[in-house]
This record gives sequence, structure tokens and C-alpha cells, in this order.
Amino acid sequence: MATFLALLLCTQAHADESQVSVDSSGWLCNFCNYPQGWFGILDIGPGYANDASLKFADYRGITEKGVFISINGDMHYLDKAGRYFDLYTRDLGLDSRQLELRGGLHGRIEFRLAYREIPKYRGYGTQTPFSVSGTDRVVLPPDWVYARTTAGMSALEASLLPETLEIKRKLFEVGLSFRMTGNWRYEADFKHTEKNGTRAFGAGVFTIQSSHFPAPVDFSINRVDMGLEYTNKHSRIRFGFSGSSFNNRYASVSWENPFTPVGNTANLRAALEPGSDFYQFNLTGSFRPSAKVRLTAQASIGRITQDVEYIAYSINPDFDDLELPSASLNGSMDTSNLGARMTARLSSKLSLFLSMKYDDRDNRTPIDFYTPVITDLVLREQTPNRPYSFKRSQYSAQFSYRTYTSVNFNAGAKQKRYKRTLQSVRETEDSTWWGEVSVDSWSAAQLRVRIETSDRDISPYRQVGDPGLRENVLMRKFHLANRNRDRALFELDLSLSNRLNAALSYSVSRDRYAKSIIGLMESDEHSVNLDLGFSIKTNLSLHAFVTLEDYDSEIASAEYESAAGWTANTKDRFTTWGFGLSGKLTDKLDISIDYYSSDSRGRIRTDSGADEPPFPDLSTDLRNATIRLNYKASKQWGLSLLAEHENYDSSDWQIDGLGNDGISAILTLGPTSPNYSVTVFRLLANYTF
Amino acid sequence: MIILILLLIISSGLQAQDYSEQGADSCMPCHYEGQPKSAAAIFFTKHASSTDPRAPFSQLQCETCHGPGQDHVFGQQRSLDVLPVNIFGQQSKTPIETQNRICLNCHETKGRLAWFGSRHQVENVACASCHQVHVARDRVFDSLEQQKVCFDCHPKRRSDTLKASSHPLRLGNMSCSDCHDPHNGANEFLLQELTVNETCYTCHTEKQGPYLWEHAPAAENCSLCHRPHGSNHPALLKKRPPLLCQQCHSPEGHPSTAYTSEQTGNSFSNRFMLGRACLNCHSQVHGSNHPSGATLHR
Repeated sequence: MATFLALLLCTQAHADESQVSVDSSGWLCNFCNYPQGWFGILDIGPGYANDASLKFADYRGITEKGVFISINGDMHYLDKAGRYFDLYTRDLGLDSRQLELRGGLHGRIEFRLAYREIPKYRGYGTQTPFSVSGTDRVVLPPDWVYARTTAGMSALEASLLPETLEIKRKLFEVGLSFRMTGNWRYEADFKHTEKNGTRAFGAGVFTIQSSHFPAPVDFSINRVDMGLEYTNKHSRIRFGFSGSSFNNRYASVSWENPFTPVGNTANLRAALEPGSDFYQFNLTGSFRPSAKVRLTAQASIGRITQDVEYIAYSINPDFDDLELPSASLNGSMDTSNLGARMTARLSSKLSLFLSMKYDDRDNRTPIDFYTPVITDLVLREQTPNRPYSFKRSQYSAQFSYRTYTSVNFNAGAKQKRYKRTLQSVRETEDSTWWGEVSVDSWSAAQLRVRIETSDRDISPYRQVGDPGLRENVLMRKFHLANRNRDRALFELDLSLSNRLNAALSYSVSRDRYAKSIIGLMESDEHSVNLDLGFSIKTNLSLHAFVTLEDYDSEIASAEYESAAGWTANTKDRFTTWGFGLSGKLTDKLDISIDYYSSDSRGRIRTDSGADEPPFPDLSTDLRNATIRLNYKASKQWGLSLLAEHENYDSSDWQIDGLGNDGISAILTLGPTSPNYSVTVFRLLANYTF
Repeated sequence: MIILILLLIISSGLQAQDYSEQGADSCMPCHYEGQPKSAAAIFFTKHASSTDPRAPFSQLQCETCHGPGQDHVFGQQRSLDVLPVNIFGQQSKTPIETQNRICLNCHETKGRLAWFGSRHQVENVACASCHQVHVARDRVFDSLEQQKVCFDCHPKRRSDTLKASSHPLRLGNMSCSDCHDPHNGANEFLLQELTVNETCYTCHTEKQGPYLWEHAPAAENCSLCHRPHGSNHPALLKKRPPLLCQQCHSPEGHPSTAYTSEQTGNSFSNRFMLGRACLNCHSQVHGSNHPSGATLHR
């Protein structure tokens, strides 16, 4: 009885921890230096770029050599009633401008507004005789000379015009959240995205001739997310809705065939991405049945639909009389997801985590028989479409044991099972086991070692009627193949002194497809990283890092089933390093220096048994140095000097030196690997108010 | 009865810590602007709101989160190293579970509803490892600063952003949290959406289909062909076509031919290996809605 009473009292004491009663009537907050009214900072001034490169301009928005205007800043308002307003801006004078605004009444309501532009350029050295201007029709110049190979296109050189392949993404976001009476909270966000410009598109007539041309991009996407949440002491629940609508102004693109047509293929046409709609309802809940157990669960259902009217089988008039089985796809795909997790502290040392997740992609698109005209030239036998569906279930368990000596042990297991329709393998099952030891000697050192192994078993592999040609019977597609995967991770964080700390990590991953004869055979990844931080003095520090990565993989194939096989090996190597200095040099002068270097090398070797040498290295060398000095002349005024130099060298044997006519069967856009060296200066006046 | 008395003593001892006599006015004389442990910038933030009844400063001010501070105040006045009850950070001696519970008391909303059981929770990551409270604007809300926070523990991702093909993180047009919700354990890889593909479709909506002619791996998981964090190959591909395609496609004819370095000058073979390789003709690799697009040419 006494014990029971004591436990009850202790429980009550514990429960009262969050219900303390303190007389704070005398807490006047005289030293609370609240800002009142408007305040902020504005950076404005000229910038200068000493050269122009579309690769440098990519996402950055500095497209031209010369002077530009740089405008950044933020502005705020706060008052005693809790009304607030925040405005953040970046690069308003450039094509990569960003603006974010929010305001409201603390704890009651908030509205949000944001606008961003993201420019993307892919046209490094690209030129084309094709022209497209706001339509879905791409045309050649009137005096074009048709030929069987690119070498015979005598009007090519004179008709080439630069093509920047620019796509600009504009995002407009607006949102609202408010807290209703009681424990309810509501929020809604709407995002409108526009994506406009031109992209490279390539297609042709079988393997005989193909052309690359600029195709129009005119997408718009509207998305809505809404959430209603209820919170109380023991449980929280959220009901959400997401919906989006994707619209493509152009259902197709047609182009003039620049080659001497084979058959009636003077004009060709391809479909573009169809508009579609998506919605999803979801419910998430978190429940705490006791202080030591937490349950969370989530469920959602959704649907994606697509019903854009088909274009005809072919633009080739020879096939005008072919009838489609339906006017549109009436595509519909249901998605459902279910997840649940439990975390439990079984004792002061031992914790248990259990989770399950289920995802279903149920493609309910009707199956019909179509009579494709392959590449606008050859009629193929009737072929059914294959709306793929899959179900995925995952279960995992983890134990975590923390000792009193700062040594922690973690171990777990996970099972992931896929069930697919219409594919070579109906079922795959991945089983994973892992263990981890970590040692945490407070601030001096932390060590973590983790190993993991997993095996994938599959149901019988079978040939399915893929559209196209019959696969080699020995082919095992890597995501449907038996696989053994081993992974290891080593991490060491050291505080070598009060001023110097270091973090070292190494990870390795090995995939083996031992039962595959044709397909991906093995894949390895290694990565080493070292980070160093050094505090020179208060508010002034140095940092440095180096990362080395290797990705190796090997595939095997054969030209036909009884032929001797060939192999191909791909090796990608990355060396990244950098250093920086940041902090205060004096009370009035801040400095920030950053330098980084990233070198990539890709080596591919295909070995058909004749001891062929590897392809030339794919290489990319990026160097960037940035210096920023901020001088505070007075409480209100300051000056910033920014200098950025970036050097980029790359080479790619797949495109370099080809020009537009380097492949006799393909008229390309003639891209080249980007190389540039650009320096940008900005001199900004800072006004603080 | 003896046990009862002992437990009552222990229980009363648990409540021995006292709150300060003047609240924030006990703290701010030491933690004013310019000091190494300045907390002055908190007054620029919602945490210091005096009108939101849920905000710490509408309750017990600094001690709402840091706990009773009388001993700390008295200790500092006597040059004794007595710390507040709750100190936040990965290296703090305040248990991370306790720290995070204090934050989640108010912030267990949206993706944080699924914090428990998430990778970061299981790995015992403190909220304060990533978030700053005593600053005017938490740096994780700035796209350029946020990635530095993530790279502290995920340095390989820093290297990824500098590769030949990568999402535009290094220039601040994107942030890690555009794709990942670091609190949300309900979604795989702490993604913002339930699956990899749903996350990709938020920006690349044009790829979501459903198409008349689907490419099965594209419909299942974008990361079967793409490395979303960075790659040496265009469009974040795991490897170059034709090899990328040949690891799954092997019919007799051009798909299964060994394209070697000695064939780049061969006018027939080079159409399958130079330029965009397989994509020179099969440009609709994500799927096609063309009635004749069965082979993804159209």
C-alpha cells in the first residue's frame, strides 16, 4: 500500500513538471530590447562580369559580360501588438531573383508570398538551322539542301544560328496559416509554376537518320496543399490535401526532316508530355499512450489522371486511315500509402523502434491494342499498352542499447518486398541486417562504426512482351535481379583542442549480382571525407575539407544469345577539396573567403575481347574562389566588396569536336563541353535602418 | 512507510530548483548583444512574442525552455560554473530527448508529427544541432546557409553539389529541404513527399504521366537511372548511355552491340554512342503518349 502510494506521488510529481506555477507578475522584462517599427538592411550597387558564359550563367542569371545591378536586402516590421512583417530579397537585378514575404499576427495568423525565377541554359555552343517561335512546328530555312547524310547538307553552315536552349522557371507561391480557437490550426499554400523556353529534342527515322532541334517548352503547374491539425497533450492529428494540375500548351511537336526522306517522312511528329491532374488526401497522427511509448501513423490515398486527346498515329499521310482504339488514354492511377511506427523506451538503456510502410501504385489505365507506326514509317503489329502497377511493403525493427560508459549498440533488420505486374519478375524481396557501435566521450571524440548486409531474392525471371525487341534470355535487369549488398561506414569526430576539431569518415558499398549473366554485374562505391575546423580567435575561424569518391560498375552483355559476351566498365572518380576563413578582422571589418575545387574523371572501357583501349576520360574541373569584405562605416552605413572567380574546364568525348554534322546519320545541335573563366565583382552600399 | 518517506524526500528534491526572481531581466544583463553567449537577437523572433500565449516569452520567458534558472543566476554572480537546467546542443549534457521534447511541446506539427521513429530521432539528433534560436533568422531558412548545416553531417552531399551535373544548391536556387523534410520519418529518405517519384514530380511534374507507353523503371523509381544529388553524367544519370540502357536492354541488333573506343569514327556505329547515344532517337525515355510511341521514339 505504501509502495503504491509512493509511486502515485512520484508519478504526480513527474506530471507536475510541465504544470509549474510560478509567480511571474514581477518579471517586467526591462532588459528585453524589442525592436519596434520598421528595420532592415539594403545592399545595392553595381556588379561587373569580365566575361560571359551560359554555363556560368546557369541558375546564376549573369548572362552577359559587363555591368549589372545587384540588389539584396531584407526588411522587417514588428510592434507591441504582435504584428509582424518580413521581406527577404536576393539578386533582384538578375534573372535568378528571389523574393519572400511573410507577415501576420504572432500566434494567430500568417500569410506568405514568394516569387522566384530560376534560369537554366543548356546551349553551350549550340547552333541549329531549325527555328521555332511560339508554335509547335519546327522548320528549316527555305533554301535547305536535303541529303542522305549530314556531309551532303551543303546549306548547313550558312544556315546555322546560335540556340541558347534557355528554360526559365518562374514560381509564385502564396500561403496562409492561422490558429483557430482551441487546439486547431489550419494552413493552405498555393504554388503556380511556369516553365518556358526551348529544349533540345531528338528523334528521327529508325536508326537511319535523326535530328536534334529546339523544341518549345510551355508548361504551367498549379498546386495546392492544405492541412488541418488538432493538438492536445497526448495526441496530434493532421488531415491534409494536396492537388496539382499540370498543363502543357503543346501536345506535340512536328519538324521538317532535314535528310532526304525515306518514304513519306518529309515531316515528323512526336508527342510531348501530356497534361495531368493529381490529388491526394492524407491523415497523420501521433499518439503517446505513455511517457515511454510513441505511436505515429500515416495513411493517404490519391489519384493521377491523364486524358489528353491523342494525336494521330502518324503525320505521314500514308497512314491517315489508321483508326485509334480511343480518342484519349483515360489514364488513371490510384496511389495508396500506409505507414506506422512505434518507438518505445523499454528501459533507461534499451529502446525499440518498429515500423511498417506500404505503398501501392495501382495503374487502372485501360489496356487497348494499338497499331503503332514506328518512326512515322513502318506499321507494326498490334501491341497492347502496359500500365505497370506495383505494391511495396517494408517492415523494420531496431534495437538501441546505451550503456553507462558512453558506448551505444544499435542493431536492426529490414525487409522490403515488391510485387509488380506486367514485368519480368513478379516479386522481389530484400532482407537487410545491420549493426552499429558508437562511442561518445562527450565533447572529446565520437566514433561510429556501422556494417550492413542485404540480400535480394526474386521470383522466377520470365520474358515479357516488352514493346520492342525480345531481350536476351540471360538478361537480368538490375532492379529485378538477385543481389547481395554490403555496406560499411566509419565516422570519427575529434576535438583535438579547444580550437581544433576534425571529422573523418569512410563509407563503402558493394553490390554483387552473382546470378546475373547479362546485365549489371557489380557496382562499388567508396567515399572518404575529412573536415577540419580551427578557431583562430573569437569570431574568426578557418575550415577545410577534402572528399574523395569512387564509383565503379561493370555490365556484361552479348550481341546475340549464342555469341561471346562483352563487358563494359565505368569508373567515376571525384576529388573535392576546399578551405575558407570567416569572421571579424576588426570591429568594423568582416571577412569571408571560400575556395573550392572539384575534379571529376569518368573512364569507360568496353571490352569485346579485342583488348580495346578505354574511351578518352570524361573530365570536369571546377575551381571557385570567393572573397567578401564587409566594412561597417557607421551604425547605418557600410560597404561590401564581393569578388568571385570561377574556372571551369570540361571535356566529353561524346560531343566534343563533332559540330553539327560529325555523326553522318544525325544532325545535332553541335553542343560542346563548357569551358570558361569568369570573374565577377560587386561593390555594394549597405544601408541599415 | 519508510519507503514512502524516502520517496517523498526524493520527490521534493526533484522540485528543488527555483525559478529566477526577475525572469529575463535576470538573464539579459549577461546575455546582451555582443557577448559570446548573447541571446539578444531572440527579441527579433517569434519566440520572444509577448502576444502569442504559446510563445516562451509569454510564459516563463527564458526559463520556459531553459528551466528554473535561479541557481545559474546565483552561481554566475558568485563566479561559480552553475549551468542552466536545460542547455541545448548536440554536445550538451542535457539529454537530447529532454531538449527535443521541450521544442516539440510547441513544434510537433506538420512533418514533425512523424519525428518519432524518423532517422534523425533514432540517431539522437538534437533540434539545436541544426536550429538556432537566439538569432534573428535561423540559418536553416536561408537556402545557402541551410546546406552548410546539412553538410556538417552529410559531407558527401557537399561534393555532390559541385559535380558536373547537380541540382542548383550551390547557388542557392534550391535547398536540401525542397526535397527532404528532416523531421518527417513517415516518408522514405526523409523526403517531403511519400515516395521518391512523388518528390521529383513536385518540380518535374511533366514526368508523372500516366503515359500510354510507360517506361517501367521510370514509373517505379527515378533513382534507378538518376543520382539525385550529383553525377559525372548529364541529367544526373548514373552512367552514360548507351551503357546505362544496355544494362537492362539486350535484344539482338544495335541495343546489344559492344560499342568500343575504336568505333567512334565508324559512321554506322557512332550514331549509337555519340551525341545523346540511345537518346538520339529514343528521346521519350520517361514515357510517351503518342499512339505510335511504343518504342519511345515518339
